[in-house]
Amino acid sequence: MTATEARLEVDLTSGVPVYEQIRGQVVAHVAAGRLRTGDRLPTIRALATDLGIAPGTVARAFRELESAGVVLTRRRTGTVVAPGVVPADDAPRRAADAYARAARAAGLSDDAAIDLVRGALMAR
Amino acid sequence: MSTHLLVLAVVAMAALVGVVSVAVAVVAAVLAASGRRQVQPGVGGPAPRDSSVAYRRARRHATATALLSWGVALVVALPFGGLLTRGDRLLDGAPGLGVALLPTTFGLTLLAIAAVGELTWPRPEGSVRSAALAPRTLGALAPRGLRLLTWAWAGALTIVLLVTGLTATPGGRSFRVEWVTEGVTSESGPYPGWPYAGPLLVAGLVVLVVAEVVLRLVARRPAVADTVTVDDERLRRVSARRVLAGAQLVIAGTLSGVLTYTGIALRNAATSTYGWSDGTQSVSATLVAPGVMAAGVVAAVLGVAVAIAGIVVTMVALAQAATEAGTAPVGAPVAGPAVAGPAPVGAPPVDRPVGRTVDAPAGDAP
Repeated sequence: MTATEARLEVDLTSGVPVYEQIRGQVVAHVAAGRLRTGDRLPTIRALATDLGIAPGTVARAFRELESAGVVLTRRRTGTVVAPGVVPADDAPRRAADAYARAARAAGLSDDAAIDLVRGALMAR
Repeated sequence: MSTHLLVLAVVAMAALVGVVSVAVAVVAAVLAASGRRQVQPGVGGPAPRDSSVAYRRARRHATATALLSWGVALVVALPFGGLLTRGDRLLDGAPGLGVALLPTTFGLTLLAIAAVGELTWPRPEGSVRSAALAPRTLGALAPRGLRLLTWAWAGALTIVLLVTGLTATPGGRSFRVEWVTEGVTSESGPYPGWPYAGPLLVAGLVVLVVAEVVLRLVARRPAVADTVTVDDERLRRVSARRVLAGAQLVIAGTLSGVLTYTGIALRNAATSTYGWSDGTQSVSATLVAPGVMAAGVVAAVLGVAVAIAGIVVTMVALAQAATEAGTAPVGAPVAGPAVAGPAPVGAPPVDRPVGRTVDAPAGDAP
């Protein structure tokens, strides 16, 4: 795995629907700049096979992403990150990376780390 | 073809199909069992976070597939394929065709079991699953040189069989040279005319197509759970290399046999000794067709060279596959606090992959 490789991770026991986990993580990768305009995503079938979930679940996530303008699906090229989708500004992105490293170093769970951010946002 | 030979051929074919089917079924059961051993935490439990465990499990499955496919192909297909040759007349007018199709029998058995191995590849388990967000392409996974060589063997086989089919005698079993001035003809066989060239052409193309289908199965199988992409792709390359090693060997073996028989027939037909007698003395003369003789020598030498090349390439490819399969995985236990416990004892301490993402924030849920 390279440092810039985008991966998905879904938790089947999470209260968040799997398609929503996929959608949110693709959006997060785009915001973080790990997925850029024109980058191809795996096929629905391949992603469903790798995750061991129903293709319909991945298809729903891709539909949501397409309707939000994050990706485009073309018959010949497959699903690609849509033009015009830009990552977050550089400074917040670097701050987020630094915070993620600090959270990992502190042993925070993902939920705890996100709760901290949410709390900080609510205070502003 | 006489009735009893026809019955023998049908019975032998049915026996071969039956035995290979049983072998494939047994292989499927064995492979499924190999995939279930050391089962990861079950439904609802945490995902296997130790990538080396998932990798070892996948590697064991790949090794079992390779051993079974090559082993069954050798132990079952060849002896039962040999039964087909007892009658020696699969097609009327083509004695020895069963022998010529033995490499194909071997290859299709090998590829069928390899396909079963891919279809029974360990599925993702556990409640947390991960996957790379990049498409996999067959071109990036299959060893390019080996794949090109397999296609090259198939192309050469097609060309050679078309030439021999068009240049054979009308009966399709021999090659004839005529010296018009002397009124002498020389004919030699067996020569791969259409009774041989047709089935062998179909067989070679079937092996090529089936190999490509199996390669696509390799590309489409589930990723190794919770290991990094380079480890997963390495195992795919290992599988693809083993598939191509077998396919190119089969096509090269068929091509070698065709070239060798062609060369021998051309050489034999290129010379003719004839004589006459006027009652008081006998005179004999030997005619030579130098072009045909040269073509025969070249074909025979190429036949041997192709056989050697096919065997050497197979051995090198299998050795490379074994080396690659034995490479230690670089994948790390992804010790995500949200979903996993501490890394297991003995696991290499590695950095958390930067590209890994966290679960979607709860606030994003509908």
